[in-house]
Amino acid sequence: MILNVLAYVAAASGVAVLVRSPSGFRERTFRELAEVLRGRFPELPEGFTLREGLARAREAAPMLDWGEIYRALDGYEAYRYGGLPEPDSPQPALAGLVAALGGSRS
Amino acid sequence: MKQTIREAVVREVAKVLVSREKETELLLATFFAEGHALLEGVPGVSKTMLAKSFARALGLEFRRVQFTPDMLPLDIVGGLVFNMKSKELEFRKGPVFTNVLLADEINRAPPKVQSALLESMQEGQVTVEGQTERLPVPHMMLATQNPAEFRGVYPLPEGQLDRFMVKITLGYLPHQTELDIVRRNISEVDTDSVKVAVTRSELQAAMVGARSVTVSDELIDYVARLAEATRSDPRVALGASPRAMIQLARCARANAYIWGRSYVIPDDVKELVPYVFSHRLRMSQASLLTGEHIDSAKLVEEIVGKVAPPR
Repeated sequence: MILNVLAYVAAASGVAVLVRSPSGFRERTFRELAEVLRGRFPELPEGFTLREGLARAREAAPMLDWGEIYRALDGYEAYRYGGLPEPDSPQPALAGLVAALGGSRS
Repeated sequence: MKQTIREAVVREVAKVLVSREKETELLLATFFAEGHALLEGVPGVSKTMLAKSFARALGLEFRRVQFTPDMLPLDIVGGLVFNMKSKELEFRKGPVFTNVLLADEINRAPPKVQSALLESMQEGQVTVEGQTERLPVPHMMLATQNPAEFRGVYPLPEGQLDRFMVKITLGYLPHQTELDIVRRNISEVDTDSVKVAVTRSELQAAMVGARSVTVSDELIDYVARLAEATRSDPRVALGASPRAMIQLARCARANAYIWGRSYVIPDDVKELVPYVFSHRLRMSQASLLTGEHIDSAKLVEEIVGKVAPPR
């Protein structure tokens, strides 16, 4: 439990910094998000994908801007797996997601 | 445009089949990955109808062969016949010379017939008496089989199972869906209602496009870790081969394409692992004695849950 709380705080702090600093923010944000998802939803298997984790998070927090979150994920995947340029705009929706999952809003 | 092909094919097949959208998408990914598919299920779950309507929606030349225990290899691949006019032996092409071959109840034919298909499935050609003939392009085999426990069936040899890119198991559908099936089929089903959903040139362009999809090194590593996990499990006697890994990567690439992406994501791989790996695994007989035996599909499910994808 304590570890989970620490993970949330660390993730939320990271996102807060990344929202202010666009360079490389998205890759770090999603790596952090994966850790937050693992902590928040322990029933997720070790082999969960980000999309599966987000689907679980959507059930828990349906009020968020999921269109924006999935657009951010699409951009991240295109960058990470497709070699496309990393989008350089900050994504407040991601910070909101991390906060909703237990971290603190930036 | 890419999305349109998937949607159009699924829409056409859905005219005659209820709730088989997922299976249709899998067949389409297998087709664009230049693979072959094995459809398994008890009699009466629409295996043949799925294969026929899929081929029809793609607008490709289609032939169906009902496999029987008295079949010979030349019934499928063809053979040399004496031409009375020219006084020479000539190669007469068998039904395998088509774009989409439906091998219905493939496991009712004896092993020598099944083995005769190995070259056509792997290399897209047939060799008889030293004479090699290329099959038309594209060429896809859709084979149906009844579960091994049924009477009068021969289990497919591992070498041939490994040449099927995917095995799709068709089970019974939920109660309400089955009611819909009965209502829709109570009068005769009109298979002519399935129209060609894609032009030949669109199909050719899509086949080229599917090959250009990026598979990152991280995802190739994920594929390898999944295969290695099957080999290191003590309950498995024969794990996923390098061919299985290649086929998984190719199928994931085609899957990404039909969903309109130019790159593969972890979900493409993860979703396809059960269809590509399960039929290739041979479970250890020793695990039967120790009580640790599980079905290969369940084992693959277990492995997919344990091996962390890139995130």
